[in-house]
Amino acid sequence: MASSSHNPCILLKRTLSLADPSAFILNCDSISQTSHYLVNEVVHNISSQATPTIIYIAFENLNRPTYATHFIDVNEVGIAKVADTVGALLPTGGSPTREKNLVIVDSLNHIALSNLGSFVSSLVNPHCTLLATLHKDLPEQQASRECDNYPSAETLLQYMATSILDIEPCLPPNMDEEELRSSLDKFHIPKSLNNPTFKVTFTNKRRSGRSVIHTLIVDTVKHSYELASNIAEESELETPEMLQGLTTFNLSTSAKQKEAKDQVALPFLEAQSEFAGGTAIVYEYEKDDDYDEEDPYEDPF
Amino acid sequence: MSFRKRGEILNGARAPPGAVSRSIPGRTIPGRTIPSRDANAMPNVRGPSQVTPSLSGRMASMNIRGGSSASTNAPQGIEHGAGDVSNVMSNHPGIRPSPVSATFATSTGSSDLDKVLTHIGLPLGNSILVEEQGTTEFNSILAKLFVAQGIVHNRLGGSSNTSKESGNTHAIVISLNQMFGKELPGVYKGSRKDVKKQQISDEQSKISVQNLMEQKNTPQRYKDFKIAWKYKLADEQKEKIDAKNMSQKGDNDEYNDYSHQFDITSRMMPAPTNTEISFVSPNLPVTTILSQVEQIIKNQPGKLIRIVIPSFLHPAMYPPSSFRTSSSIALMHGLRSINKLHDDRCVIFASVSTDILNKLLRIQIQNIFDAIVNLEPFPQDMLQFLERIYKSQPNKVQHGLLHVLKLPVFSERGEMQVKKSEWAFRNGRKKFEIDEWSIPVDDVESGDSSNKQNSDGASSKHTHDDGHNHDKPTSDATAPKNTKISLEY
Amino acid sequence: MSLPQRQDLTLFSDQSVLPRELLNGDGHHMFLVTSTMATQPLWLLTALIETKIKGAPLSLNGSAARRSENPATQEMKTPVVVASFLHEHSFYHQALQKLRINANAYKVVDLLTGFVQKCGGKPRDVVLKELLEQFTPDSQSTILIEQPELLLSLLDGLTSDELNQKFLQPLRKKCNLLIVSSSIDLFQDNENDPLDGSRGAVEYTRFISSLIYTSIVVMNLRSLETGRAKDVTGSLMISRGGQAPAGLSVHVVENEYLYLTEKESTRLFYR
Repeated sequence: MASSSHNPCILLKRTLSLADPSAFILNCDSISQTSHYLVNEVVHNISSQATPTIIYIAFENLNRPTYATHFIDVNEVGIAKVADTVGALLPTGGSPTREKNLVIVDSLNHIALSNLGSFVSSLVNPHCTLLATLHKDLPEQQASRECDNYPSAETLLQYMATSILDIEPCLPPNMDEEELRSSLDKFHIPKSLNNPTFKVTFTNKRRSGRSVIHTLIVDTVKHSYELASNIAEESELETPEMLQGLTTFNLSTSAKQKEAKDQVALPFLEAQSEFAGGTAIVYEYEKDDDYDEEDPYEDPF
Repeated sequence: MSFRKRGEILNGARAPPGAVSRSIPGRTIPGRTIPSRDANAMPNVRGPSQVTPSLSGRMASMNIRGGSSASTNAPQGIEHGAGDVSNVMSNHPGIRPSPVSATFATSTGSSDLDKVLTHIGLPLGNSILVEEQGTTEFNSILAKLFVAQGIVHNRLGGSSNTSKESGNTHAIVISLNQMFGKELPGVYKGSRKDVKKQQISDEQSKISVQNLMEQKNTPQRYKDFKIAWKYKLADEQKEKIDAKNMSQKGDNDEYNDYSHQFDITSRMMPAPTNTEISFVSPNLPVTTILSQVEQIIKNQPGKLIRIVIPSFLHPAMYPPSSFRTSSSIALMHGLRSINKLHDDRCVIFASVSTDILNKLLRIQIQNIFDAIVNLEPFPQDMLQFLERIYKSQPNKVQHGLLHVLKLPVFSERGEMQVKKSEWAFRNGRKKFEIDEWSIPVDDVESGDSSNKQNSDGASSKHTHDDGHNHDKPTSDATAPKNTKISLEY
Repeated sequence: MSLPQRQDLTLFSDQSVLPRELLNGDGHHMFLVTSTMATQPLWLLTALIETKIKGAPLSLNGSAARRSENPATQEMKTPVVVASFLHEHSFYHQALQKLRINANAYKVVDLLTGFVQKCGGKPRDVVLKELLEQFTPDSQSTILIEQPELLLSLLDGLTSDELNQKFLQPLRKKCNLLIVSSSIDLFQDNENDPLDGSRGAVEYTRFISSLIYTSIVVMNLRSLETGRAKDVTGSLMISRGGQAPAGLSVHVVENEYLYLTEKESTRLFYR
């Protein structure tokens, strides 16, 4: 492997351009950030090259994407025949060609667990790359008895995939993950989700047997990829500039002031850390305490 | 209104022969002012809220009563009795226009619940679900009131108990419990002071309209030298109450048979017959239940149909398979369909204990109803607390909170009508009362309630930190003291 | 106190509720309206129907001037079908009559009345097939369906995938725009009353999730977290669904309105 592939951004670029041989790319998405933009990004990356064959296998979508050369509506074709249909559309035999053929599956969630493994393996073909999406937040149907001890769909697919792209939204600054989760559990969809820019946790299984995990921010408008950690660190540092213009007061600290501030020994700092979490304020009523029982705001606790 | 006549009756200190009031016997008449109230109350009992079905009986009692007050009631009974079937719905004593929407409503049997529903009842073609948390059984009382109200309407409509054609109301009870009909409460006949006052004012308001001449005459007793000034005062006070009631009830006289008061310790006599109530077993396949209900409605043309599902999904009546949504929800969906099909003469009342439902089933059932109230009985220590506070006014002790989750007509229009903890209910012998909930003020005892720990329940002669210390062991499940309550409710 | 300024309902970047481009295209799109029993969606559903028939949600936007925007010829041409599992025919008929919508401009399919009696005991596939037959295919039409999730309860053993594959997907193919109105009461109040992992709960969750994945717009009606208020009924949140409006130049504009429904009319405003 070239040294360039150790750069996660380039590695992702290569994967999304199908430059690295990868048989099965699994997108794990959720309502908060669907794989829609990522799939478009892949299509964008490969369309600059020779005309690829793109087969779209639709479980959910009914509208044929403009880029798809073939559109297979599973509901009409029947799931059993999908693999045959796809096979007929792809070149057969011989050694793998340089042509990039792509098979897109919009959702793997609607396949019975007992058929899932065989469905995926029937689509994996030396002549194409399988790009399939699994919705993480769709609970799995209760499996039949024959699937006792069988792994869950997510585990199964992550095991089978050669690259896994776990998609998360870039949260707006006023929201944290927990808030997002509790909103989505109620099916309240906050604003600013499903943006063209999102976070991807990219797991790449190398031929060497190693697997590398990186988190990147993918901007599908500019088609640029950046390591997420860089961005996160940047935004966390409080710089004097951030305080500028907020008020007419001077909130910034000069370097000298800051140094002085850091040197101040805070009282009882040690004492606080020692007992942290183990203390509580105990208030015991005494005979003469003037406590107004009816005032809820006077509750000392 | 003849004072002398009243006096005659009262001097006997018992109800007159035709007006036997079972709730009164043995009761001593305490003061001088009371007898006159009693006298006023009694004709009323036998008048508009007449339960005795036989017309001749009514006539007999009128004879005995004589006087003008009796004759005031007579025309009404006759009018309803004579109503022909096709006309029943327009003259139905139990149907009145909703003051807040362009619908007609019928009483639920609890005038306070009618008030909470804002339409002064349940609009026709609508359904109400009463949910109850915990092990109490207040919902079944409301179910019985709902049926009893229908029966009373029916008897006002001249049901002779035997012929199918007469009457104006029919109840369909989906229950295995055939005793349900025999457990219905009878109309409240009065015995407590406040009820009497109520009835006096009702009576007077009727008289004021129907016998204006009479009313304008100064009561004879004013002229009578022997009558103390007190009587006049009392009359004036009555007038005030009267006016108040009039304004509260609005067009009271036009719909004074609309809603009745029931005494849950008494039994409806005679018990309703199968011309008045039909039972449908919940143990049948859903489609069979639905077609039976449909058939009964067809067989009762021109009548108001009150479908009642008491204790829906009670495990004693419903087999485990009814908990499947394809059974329970299908039943509710089918009944909704029937209700909407006959939305000019059909209402549904169902009650259910939420303890036996999981969230999925509960939400699904709620989804199908037009109105939902949820009863949340107070836990034991909250009741004890209220009892302590209202030591001197035991009838103010409320039994739980009533949450409104949906109101008929308004909720489906998209209005937000969820009212949690705005109402509290109290089930008394003679009334299911619903009042605005307010956190009681512990003014009597705030100074000397106790340090007592949970071990010694009711006793208290200590200092004021009770509010907190006492809570601690129980506060998870309950909300026993006022600081706590104000935060939670 | 003056009322806050009335806002117009818009869903797309061209300030429209239903872009011409979408209605005239040959795609099969889906909108999702999610609501609770405290904030029922009748006003929004009728406004969407009104938009389809009259060109703009006049009842909401309240500006009579807009009437000129839609030529009368637009009416009638594109059929609208309203189907409900929860409300009878006259319910929608009356509601639409109040908006002065000609009864010929739409069709109501009553899936409440007699449904259980008609379908009791029939195999699921047959029931779904018969349901589908009540809708005539028209590539320009709009179908609004209220609470199709009730089928999960009414038909024994029906799964979310079956319902999607055998009912909603074919229904989407029969029209240009399918508007699904669903109740999400089941998922509220999770903190105090979590949903168990029973089969039914899983199917409902899968169903609502799939609807979101397949819609281009999600309109959510919910009450305020602070409870009932005199001047606010609830909030309407417009968010993007799982599908982007493929092949269209417009995009969904996310927005949050507050709204007040009283006396059978609704107004939107901003916080």
